[in-house]
Amino acid sequence: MKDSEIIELYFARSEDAITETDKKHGAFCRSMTFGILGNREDSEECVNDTYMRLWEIIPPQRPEKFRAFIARIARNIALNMLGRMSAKKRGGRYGAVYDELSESIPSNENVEKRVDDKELSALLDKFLRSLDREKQLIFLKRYWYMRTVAEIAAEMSVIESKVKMVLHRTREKLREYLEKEGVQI
Amino acid sequence: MNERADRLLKALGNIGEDLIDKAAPVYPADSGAGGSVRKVATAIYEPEVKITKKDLRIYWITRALGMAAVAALIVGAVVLLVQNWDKIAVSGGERPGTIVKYIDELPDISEAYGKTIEFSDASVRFSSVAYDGTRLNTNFYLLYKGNDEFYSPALWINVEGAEHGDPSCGINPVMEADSYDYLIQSSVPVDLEPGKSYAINIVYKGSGNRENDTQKYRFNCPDIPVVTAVTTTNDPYLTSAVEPLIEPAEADTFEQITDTSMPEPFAVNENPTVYGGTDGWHDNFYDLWKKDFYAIDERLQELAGFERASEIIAGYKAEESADNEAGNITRYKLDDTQNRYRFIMDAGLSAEEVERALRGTDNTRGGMVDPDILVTFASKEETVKEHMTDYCIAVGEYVFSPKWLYYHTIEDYKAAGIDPYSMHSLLEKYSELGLSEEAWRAFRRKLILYAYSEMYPEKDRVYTYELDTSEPLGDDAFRIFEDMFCGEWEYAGKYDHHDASFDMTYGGTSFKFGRIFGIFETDEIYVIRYNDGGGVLMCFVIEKSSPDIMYNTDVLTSLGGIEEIKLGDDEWVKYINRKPAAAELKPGDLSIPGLTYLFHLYGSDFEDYYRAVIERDSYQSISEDENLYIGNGHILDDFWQYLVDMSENSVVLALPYVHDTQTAHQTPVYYELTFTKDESGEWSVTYNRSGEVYERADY
Repeated sequence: MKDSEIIELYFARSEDAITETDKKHGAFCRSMTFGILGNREDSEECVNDTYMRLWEIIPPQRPEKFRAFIARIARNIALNMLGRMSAKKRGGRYGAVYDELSESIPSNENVEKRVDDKELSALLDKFLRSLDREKQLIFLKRYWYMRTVAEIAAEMSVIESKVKMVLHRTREKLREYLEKEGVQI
Repeated sequence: MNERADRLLKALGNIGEDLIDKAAPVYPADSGAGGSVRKVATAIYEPEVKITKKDLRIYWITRALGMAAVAALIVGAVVLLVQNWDKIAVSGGERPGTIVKYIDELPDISEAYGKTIEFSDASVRFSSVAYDGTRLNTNFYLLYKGNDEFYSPALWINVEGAEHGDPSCGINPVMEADSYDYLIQSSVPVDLEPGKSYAINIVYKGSGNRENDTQKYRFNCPDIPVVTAVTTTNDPYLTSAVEPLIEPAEADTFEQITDTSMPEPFAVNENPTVYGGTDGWHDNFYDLWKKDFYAIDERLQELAGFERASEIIAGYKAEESADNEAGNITRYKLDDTQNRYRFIMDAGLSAEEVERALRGTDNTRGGMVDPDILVTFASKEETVKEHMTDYCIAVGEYVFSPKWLYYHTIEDYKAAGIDPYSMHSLLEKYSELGLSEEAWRAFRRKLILYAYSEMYPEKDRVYTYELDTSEPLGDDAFRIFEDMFCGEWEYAGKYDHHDASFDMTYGGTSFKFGRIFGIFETDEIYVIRYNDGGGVLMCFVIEKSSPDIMYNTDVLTSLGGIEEIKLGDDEWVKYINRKPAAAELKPGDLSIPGLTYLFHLYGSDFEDYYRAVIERDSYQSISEDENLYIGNGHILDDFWQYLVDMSENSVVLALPYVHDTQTAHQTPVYYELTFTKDESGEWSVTYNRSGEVYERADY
């Protein structure tokens, strides 16, 4: 079923909306949340919460890119869940991603401004769009979708060392970019 | 927990949805809620194709060998070049002798020799000729129509009857057979006597000398033909030593507005006491003179006597009032507008008086400075050139303001001897005059048509592409190409040459053109961009090629924010307007334009998918039994791609594959790639080894 048709089910308040959503995007949603949370039970709970949220906000929202819309909601719910967990319980890939991304935090020297979340997102958006397609995809698959290096290499049909190199250099570039923007996180 | 890393991670969550969607992994649809987490598919497009360790090993070894081979080739070429530098021959049709790279003395070669091309083989058309007292500065077009290609390294200007120094115009490129129209600018030192007429000869030398900062060359080409072209008295040129171009009787008529079709130049200012326009009161449109030259310096008034000065200036103001009331007067001369020069003449002040009163003052006090004094008493032409505004054009002692150009016709421009080539530099500036949109469109069209119709009088078709951008183009690039299928705008960051009827790539501040069907860079296509605050870009295509080439008006939106391009409806335009439905993509060769057309037809999802497949196939063999990679134009002598079949949700392409990615001159193996779109809009591809012999499309 096309995404537009699924969305119409939401507008019609048909319970099939959730079924069809799960049918088409469930695997994607589970895999993504599993990558963040690290266990199946939490991942299922997150996916259920995602569907509940979708039901609440559609309508009136009518997402244009449904998959990305679901992904954003699921990811936010998963990260929030993670925030409530104890450090011991936090598992999955989040820890590794988290440590890697710490390298991109700009140093506090020469800081001009503290940006709010919206501004920070806009800066990151701009940075990502300045990258070429391959680097962009690799970076997003790692730090947005929490894919492993091996999974990214397989999806992108490249070797793992290349993925690691691209990630490393892009993290460096991001740090330089944020420092140049005078951003304090 | 590091809050900052956490914040960064969360902020990533709110980037654009298109980015999120683009990077999303692809999964087969799940069966339902509660299913277990699936293992990720190992490849997006072809799960069966695996990269083995053997493949990787071969890939890296091959790559290393290839790089070593390339390095060796480069070193070898450099060694050969250095060893044989002196023996390098000049390219060209009639092979001349060798160039001597360096000689100590330059022999004096003053006589032309070699065979002579008949006069009909070449013609010279002067655009402008001006003499500044020591140098003759000319712009001329040399049109060569001979059948022989020849290389002539030296072009001379020979002013008959005058003593002149080094007459060389400099090096010219290879003159190619059949219609090569080349703009040449030259400046030669020469002594001309006032009041005397001169004929100017353009001479191609079969040999000559060239010298630059580091090297001296002597060319010895005895078989190179020589062209001699002689000006005629009908050529529009003007020097201070010859008769003025415009007779006074003709000049008087220029005061009256002749082009009454022009709209009001500026939008109505509802509050006339408010400072309006981009330059205040639109001074740049109306004014002939720079402010200091227009104003009558107090010291000059004092010199003339204040009472006398007041009378003179009052007379100037009365003229201006009368002009404003009449509304249809445009002035263009030093002698009938208010300015310092005229005041000095009207007041009968001598150069000595003026100099005595003003020498040593500086301009910050509003006074004349030494160079001003010298120029004012030098000549009218010099005075005009020195003191007219940057928005005016001068022809001898006549100066034409934007207002004059606006309200006069192209025929008036011609009669006035305005150099059409000078229009180029003005166009961008005039976009800043603050004209209303309607006025600017009308004015710009007139200026451009004059510029190009005069430059290319033999061309029978001029196409104009006028493009309004909603946002500034900045350094964005775009590409226009017309092909056998359809015409499109496309964003492109670099120049590509392909088999389209013409191809023009514009990137930032420069532009390049494909040379197709005899359309050459300097001749046929010109892009003018100006006022890039969401401004207008105009492209002119001057058609000289096959009359069968059709031009299409439909365009695509490009990434640069370009929304639409329209062909002008000018009377010069003679083309047939084809609809996209009539542009059919037929089975056969798939050129870059055709591929782009497919992307347009099937959408960006197809394009992304296709490019991903090609990228993957460039380094990952499509077969486990043998190495097979997608070929490219670097490896293959004939790199053809074919469109085999297409339908609503499927397209079949035949693409060449090769056994390794480094060896040139391979014979490709063709695979038919069937791209299919499923119900959910996802694309997939299957491969089928083809035994077909593909034929080129019959255009």
